[in-house]
Amino acid sequence: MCLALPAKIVAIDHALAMATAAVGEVKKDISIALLEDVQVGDFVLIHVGYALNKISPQEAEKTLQLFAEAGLTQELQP
Amino acid sequence: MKTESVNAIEGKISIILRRNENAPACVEVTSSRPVHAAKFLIGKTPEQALSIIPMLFSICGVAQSCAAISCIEQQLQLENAPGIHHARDLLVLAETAREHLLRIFLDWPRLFELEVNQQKLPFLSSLVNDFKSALFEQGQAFSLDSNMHDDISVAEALIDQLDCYLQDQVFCIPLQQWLEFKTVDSLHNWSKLTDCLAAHSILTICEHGWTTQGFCQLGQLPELNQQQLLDRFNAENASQFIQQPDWQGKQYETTSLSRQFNHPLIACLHREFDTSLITRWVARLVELAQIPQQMRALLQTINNTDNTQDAHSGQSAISQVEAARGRLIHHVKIEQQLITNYQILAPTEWNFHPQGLIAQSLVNIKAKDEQELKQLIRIMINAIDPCVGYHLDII
Repeated sequence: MCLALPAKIVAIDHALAMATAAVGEVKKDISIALLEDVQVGDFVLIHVGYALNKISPQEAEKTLQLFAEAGLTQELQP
Repeated sequence: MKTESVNAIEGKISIILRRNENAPACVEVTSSRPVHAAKFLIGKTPEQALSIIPMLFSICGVAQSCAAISCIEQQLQLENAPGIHHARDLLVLAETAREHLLRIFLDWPRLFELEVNQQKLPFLSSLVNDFKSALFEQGQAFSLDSNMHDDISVAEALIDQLDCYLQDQVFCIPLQQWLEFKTVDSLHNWSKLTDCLAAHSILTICEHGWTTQGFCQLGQLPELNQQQLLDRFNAENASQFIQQPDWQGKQYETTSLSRQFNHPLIACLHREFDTSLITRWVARLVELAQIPQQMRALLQTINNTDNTQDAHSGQSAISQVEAARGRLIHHVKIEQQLITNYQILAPTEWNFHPQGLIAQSLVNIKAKDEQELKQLIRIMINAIDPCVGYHLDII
């Protein structure tokens, strides 16, 4: 099954509908073509290069916590 | 969080195509996908599992939730209000439409070197939640006390909206008219006369002579007997079954093509081109074009359906759901109100099996140079499962 990662938007290029999203220390370039009104600081779910939808900081933290509890990662903070 | 943790969550599929001058090419497929993540649900209550699943498996969250609640309701021997299963099936169709449309608008321009039209996309991000709210009180479709709205007019209006969207943005003619194509010529004529992504992709495949690329003789995943499935999930080597599934020793395909195999247009393409790129490519469009009429059919039966499920309180429960990428199977056992076993078999594991569909299809790609080979491999993988991240090496 496919898992989407919660990530924080740290930079946006509106002209290209691209953004840089951070998951802890890891940064990924992603398309934000699917979303409207994305701002730096927003949390999104990302998967294979796309931001799928916006989520709250609380949802991001909860999801990362679930991944940690599931043994997929040891760290809890986005 | 570090790179290793991110890689562990996302999982990766590695595809190596080895070319030999005097022998057929060979393809190696290896996967590090977190196929056993569902074990995390062991020890949780059914209610906890139902709230965790859409967060953990958010890509096909509706199909995952649908399979989960079906298993849990069987295990708890719960009876639902009339029509609730059909309403959930309708949500799975909405998710399938969204997933197919996302890939058409986001991936196809890149594969065929066209510009992305971003105006078409925001409608999609709210599609599934709009249907949830239209059908269920508080949009709660997958809880043990879900209640449906009596009034289905909002859902009817959403289906009409989706129908218009597909007509305007994908097919450029009424869906029923497109679905009446029964010959290769009629499909080819439409693709020549229509200015849209779907037509352009088909025209490109035809004019580049790519129609028969990626021919594969693998069978379509048949109906799987519930008891035999239970035996596989309960066997000592169940972990192997979930990671690299087979059915009675054989590998199978489970994709849009598997579901559309009997549609007249697909049958015609299959006769002419077998299970190759063009047949597979058009199957996804056939599936998409049929979704509004399938939704209307489900909506009409919502008020008069007998929802009695087979109860499996003594043993464990199985649910099979046709998700966007293929058949998704959940296996759940509940004892004393706690989950004591949870296993998920995703369609990706069938299609990316080391001897499965991807491996067999990529072997049969013939290209004039490395650039075309890479483009064809990307198109072929997108036609099979566009949702999986992979790393490709050509040696």
